[in-house]
Amino acid sequence: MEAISATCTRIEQLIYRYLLYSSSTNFAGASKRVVRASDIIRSLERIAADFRVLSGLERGLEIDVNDRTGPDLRDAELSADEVALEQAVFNLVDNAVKYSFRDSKVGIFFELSPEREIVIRVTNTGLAMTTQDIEASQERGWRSAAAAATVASGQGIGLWIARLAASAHGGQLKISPTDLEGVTSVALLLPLVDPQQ
Amino acid sequence: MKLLIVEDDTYQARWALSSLSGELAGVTVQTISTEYTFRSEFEKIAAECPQVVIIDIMLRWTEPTRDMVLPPPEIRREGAMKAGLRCAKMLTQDQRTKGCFILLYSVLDRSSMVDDLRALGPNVLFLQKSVDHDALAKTVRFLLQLPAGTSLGNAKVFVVHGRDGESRETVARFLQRLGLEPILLFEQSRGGGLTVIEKLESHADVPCAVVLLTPDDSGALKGDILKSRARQNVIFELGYFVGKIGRKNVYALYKDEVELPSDYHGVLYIRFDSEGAWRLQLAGQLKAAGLPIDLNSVL
Repeated sequence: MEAISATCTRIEQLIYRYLLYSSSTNFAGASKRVVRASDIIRSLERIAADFRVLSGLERGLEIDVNDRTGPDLRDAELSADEVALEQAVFNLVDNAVKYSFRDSKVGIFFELSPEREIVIRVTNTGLAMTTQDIEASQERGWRSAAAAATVASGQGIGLWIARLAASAHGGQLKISPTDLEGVTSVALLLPLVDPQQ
Repeated sequence: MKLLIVEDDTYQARWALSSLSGELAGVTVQTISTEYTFRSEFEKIAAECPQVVIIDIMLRWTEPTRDMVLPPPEIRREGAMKAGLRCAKMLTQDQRTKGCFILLYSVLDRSSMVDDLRALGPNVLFLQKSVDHDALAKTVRFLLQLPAGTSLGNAKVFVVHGRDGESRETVARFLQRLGLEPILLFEQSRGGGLTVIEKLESHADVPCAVVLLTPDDSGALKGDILKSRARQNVIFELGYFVGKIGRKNVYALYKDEVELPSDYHGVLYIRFDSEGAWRLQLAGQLKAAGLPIDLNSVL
């Protein structure tokens, strides 16, 4: 019931933000505050737990959060709109879960890039993303034929919203084409707050 | 006896089944979760010929798998929004399954598919998905007790209404809860160049009609004080159904303020009270008219 309630709240917030975006381009800028990396990890854990209940168990999916940053980054800070960020991650995990093969793994990784950006990477083994798909996914409303065949209710806005949220945080959304082992990786790259400033 | 559930949401299918548990003694239940599986297994389905088939309208084509087959172009064009209608069409067009009772159970708005529903014939009912699946359980109970070969044309009730949308929806929902299909003229197709009276005629093959007399108009004898009256089309349709199906099968629900039309003796007038006592009275009349209604479902 908590998972359902949390998901309803996210949908409500998404609608609000979508309406906000329809009247301005300020999707995630208005509510930014300084957030610790440890808070974001907690949010990832919550999302993973909700998806395990909502659909992961049903389809035999393993959904894990992997913190690869080490304890020294826990206090690192970034300027973030937590709701927009959580929505973006939710969308990435939602896609990963929906388009995964049964009994496969969905990974949520929390990493630090060499450029000292926070990286939230979601990986899955399921419907493949080609370089052409990645190019086409820039368009709002785009869905691959395979995606449309496997999920009846999608609107093709999940990646678009995630990309919007990433850019509102001065970051980017990076999609890697499906590799030879069948793993697709989608990452949010978000700059840290410079401690010197 | 067999029940087939075609639903791609596992939780919905499970909730629906749990709400039906009291109705399913001696019934074999099969669940199918994609349109592709439905089509692949159609021969087997047709051979077994389920008594009742519950179909979600918005269905995915297939599960994501390594060897998944993409839908053919014509299905891709129509999309998932019509998947359940396509499955229902296959059942109604096959000699072995055309007598199955098909219940389309969807969150979609019925008014968006009236032409499709009409083309599917009388044994296909539409029921709006609800959180408690209560209406579903009652409808399935009703369908399971029907003898094979029964036409569901009898389960439809025409609702004549004026401008009071809230009352109209209340009555329509109540009829659905009883396992009946309300026919609302405004929901029927505007296409085909039919006039209102032609549309009325094309949907009037029903055993009963419920007429909502709500105070939408003002009128009086010349020189008298204006009184609240039902719309003229409502009075016209009341008379039409009295002539068409007999006054004993026409039930007028009236709101307190409305002036009742005179000279319609024999038509049953039921006060459309806010306490809801009208529900039991109306259900009792519909049952007495021969519609298989469990009066316990009203309480």
